[in-house]
Amino acid sequence: MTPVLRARLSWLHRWTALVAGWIVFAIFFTGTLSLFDAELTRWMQPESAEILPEQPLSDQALEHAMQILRDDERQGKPSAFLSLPSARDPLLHIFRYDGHALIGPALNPRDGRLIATRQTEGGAFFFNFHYTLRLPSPWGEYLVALTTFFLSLLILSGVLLHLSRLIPDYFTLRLHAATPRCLLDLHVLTGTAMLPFHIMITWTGLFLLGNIAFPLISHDAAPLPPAVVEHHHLPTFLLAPLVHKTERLTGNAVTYILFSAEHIAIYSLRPDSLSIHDTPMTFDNVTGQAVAPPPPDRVERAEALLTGLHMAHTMGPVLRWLWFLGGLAATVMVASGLVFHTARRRASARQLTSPRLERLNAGIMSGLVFASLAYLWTNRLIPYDWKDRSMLEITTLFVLWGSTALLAFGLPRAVLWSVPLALTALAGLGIPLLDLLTGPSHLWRHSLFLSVDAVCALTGLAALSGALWMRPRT
Amino acid sequence: MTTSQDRTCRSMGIVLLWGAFVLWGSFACDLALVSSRSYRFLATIIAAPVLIWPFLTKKPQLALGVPLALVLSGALMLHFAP
Repeated sequence: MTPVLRARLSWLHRWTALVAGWIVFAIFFTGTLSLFDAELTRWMQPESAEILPEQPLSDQALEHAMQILRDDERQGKPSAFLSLPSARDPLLHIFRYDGHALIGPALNPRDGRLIATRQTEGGAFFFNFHYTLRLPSPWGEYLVALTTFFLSLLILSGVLLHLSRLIPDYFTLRLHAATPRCLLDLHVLTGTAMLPFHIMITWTGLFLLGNIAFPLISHDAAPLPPAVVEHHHLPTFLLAPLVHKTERLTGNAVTYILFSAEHIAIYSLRPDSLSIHDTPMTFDNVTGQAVAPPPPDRVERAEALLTGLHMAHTMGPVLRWLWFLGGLAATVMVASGLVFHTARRRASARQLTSPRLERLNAGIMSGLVFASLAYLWTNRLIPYDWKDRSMLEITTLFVLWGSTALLAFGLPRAVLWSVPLALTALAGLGIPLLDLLTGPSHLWRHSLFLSVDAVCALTGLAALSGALWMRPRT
Repeated sequence: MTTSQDRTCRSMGIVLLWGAFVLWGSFACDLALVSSRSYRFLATIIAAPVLIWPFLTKKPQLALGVPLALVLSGALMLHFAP
């Protein structure tokens, strides 16, 4: 590579990162968390801990859920669907989309009894933020699609810049070197070590946003017909025989049941698979007769594979944790790259915008981690029956994130990183204690609660190490 | 050409290439040469290597000119599509 080309690619890499870096960081961080969205929701609804995984769904519970849906339909409530118990979420849910997340009552899969869980968006908040940034639709999706374009350019320019040193970079991390050198090593190491994951997740992300990233212009487009509110026409017969039939034919447990004006679509996703291949068994909702859907074509199969690779909904725990590590590496890659930029500018005494960028780095990045941990704290500390408690949880997250960013502008430079990282460490290390005091009894029996506590404590420890490491360097 | 003009040309080239994707893709879908899903699938695969091209080519005039020609031809094709 010629020095001129190298300089051009460096400029592209640097400026793309400066424009989109913080959004990319937020997208990667929340995307990593949303790999365990169902588990986070269960942690945030400790009332559901009494239902242990692998409890079979009874016909009585299914019929009870249908009765609730029929009552809702009579009251004119918007359409809903059923989410059946699975290994990750042992509850029977009636879900409605509220514009941001799927919300609705949770039922005991044994008898259909309503479980009085606290009102929260739980892990679904991170999932929704990951692709909308919690902005009004479709602006959030537009911004995420634009950021994904930037990210694809960032990754490709980064690969081209480091191509000649790809193998040595796998084995280089000089923690005791000068700050910029050490940060660059960390940036390149996390980039190269999980490079296939970064490429795959960016490409599949761009594909999922394809409608927005690559819009189609049609010069003879007809005006859209006025929106019609679709009514369910819920079946009046028993649903359980159809569920058993689907399970018998597909060999997999049923995951979702959707209702349209004419059909009932019963989805049974194959567990431990990369592809979300979800062609449903379809039944007429008046007669209950099976309706043969057209077989999926090759593009549909490819779409299901790309969606499955990105969302990891059907993956087993090992692959899911591997994806989590990949997401973590991507988050650290972006963070270390952004911090490297300001550290290098300071080291070379080019002080034009560096102090402001440095403060924004500290406030935005450590602020998001701190606010996410505080989201879990708020969930447990707000009284159970507080009005609009889920909105209060989310508001608290954004207020704390914004406050940390503002705080970074008021802090002396020597403690610019130490203070927000110390707050993050306190929040993370305190979560196990909080869970012990406010979580389900016999906490030690629930591996899910212990896992979330352990990850939060590890985040706290990492933040503490970061605070100590950054202190003499700022 | 100054460095700043050079980079502006190349950055504009990236934006125009995206526009070319949209126009040529719309044309191909309009004529039913390819389904919209297949177009998006293919566009996603080749997007990053294509979009970075203006920064790989030596001449900034080429980095701006080729995408501009692609956008204009795409717009014309779409406009005169049967």
